[in-house]
Amino acid sequence: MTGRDGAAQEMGLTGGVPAAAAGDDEAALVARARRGEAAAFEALYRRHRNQVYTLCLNLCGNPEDAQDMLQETFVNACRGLPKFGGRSAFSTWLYRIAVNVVRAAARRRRRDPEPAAAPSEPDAATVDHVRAVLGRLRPAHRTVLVLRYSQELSYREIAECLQWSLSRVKVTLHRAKHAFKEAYLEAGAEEVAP
Amino acid sequence: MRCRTARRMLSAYLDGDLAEVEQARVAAHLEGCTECRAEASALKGAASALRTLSAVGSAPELTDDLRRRLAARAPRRLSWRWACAGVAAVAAVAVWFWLAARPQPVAPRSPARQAVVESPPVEQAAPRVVEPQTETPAPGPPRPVRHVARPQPAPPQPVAAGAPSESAPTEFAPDDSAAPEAAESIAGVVLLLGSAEPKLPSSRCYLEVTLPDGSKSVHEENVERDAAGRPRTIQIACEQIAPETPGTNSGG
Repeated sequence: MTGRDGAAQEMGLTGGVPAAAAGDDEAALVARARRGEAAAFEALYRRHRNQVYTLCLNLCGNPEDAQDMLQETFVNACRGLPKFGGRSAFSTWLYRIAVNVVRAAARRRRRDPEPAAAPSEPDAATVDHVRAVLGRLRPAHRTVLVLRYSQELSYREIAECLQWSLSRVKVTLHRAKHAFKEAYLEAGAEEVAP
Repeated sequence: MRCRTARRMLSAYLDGDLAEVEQARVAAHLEGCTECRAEASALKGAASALRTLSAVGSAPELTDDLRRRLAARAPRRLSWRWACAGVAAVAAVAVWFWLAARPQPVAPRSPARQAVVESPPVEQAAPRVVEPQTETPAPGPPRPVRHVARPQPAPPQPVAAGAPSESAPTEFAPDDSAAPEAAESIAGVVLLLGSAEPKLPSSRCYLEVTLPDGSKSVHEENVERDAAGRPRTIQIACEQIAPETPGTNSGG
């Protein structure tokens, strides 16, 4: 028995076939995960974890927090899987959960403020700078920008993810770009200034 | 195109989200407007900075801790069955308590009670004795009545004057599908019995209902209670009587 099979049995879920799970298409994986197959859900985790982690990292700016949010996202997804109707892509549904997890964490952080963590990768100065600028924006602006440029979602997918109207997405994205541009230029000026 | 219009469309222009005609108009404006071109350049720089976010990070593998958390929150497909079982158990306990809490019989057998209900309309018919088996059949189509013979567990109590014959070996049960009025009346009788004096060891109810079309519905009910005060037998007699005609009216 492999460690994963043992974990699947420990989870109290139906044992699956982990090797075959990777080859299945996403809809089949989701269907199997909804039936309680741990192997299928693990395959979904492996397939989407990097994208969800990147989304969380870009929204919160902290790698450690992003890992916690990643876990929270998949735990919530596991719980809510029976409610997933398949009207949107599974990834879009996951992003929606992740955005909600990040929002909830932001609310907790406002109640219990913590000192900002230092950048984890010294060679990622540009990305960290962009994330720092994003952190100055309003949450709605930050969210649509990350979904658009980090997750590369279309306007329609952003609307599904945030459950907004398409026109609201367009307007918010337009304003968010301008807000980011102003903040980015302002931050660049601060860096140049002695 | 004015600068204000062009700048409002600049974001969508850089995303290629405009229609072809509008895309061309904005491009033409940018060629001739230095300020709008600078604005577009700044926006383009911001967008390219934002695109650095698309570098996918490396998320951790599925850890044992996460597996345990997933197991704790995994969807339980059989949970609804447990919920139904719980509701049924609570209902059973509630019924048991209700039966156990009912008052014990304290009074001896009492004379039967007579309840006479008359429907509001047309006819001011006084409560009257009805002899179900001697009534003349109605001229119209008779209502179907199902006859059910049941053994009497105890001799019935004498009823007030005018009650149907106690020695009738047959009692009548209504056919609910064919006589909804009778079913409603019987339901009323059962409610009446249920709400009145549960202490009596036995009770009798006699109900005569005059329907709007002049026909009558007669119901008789005997309820025997056991030592715990629970109704053990409920016997229901019911008969539909057609409207009286001058030829068949016996004059009381």
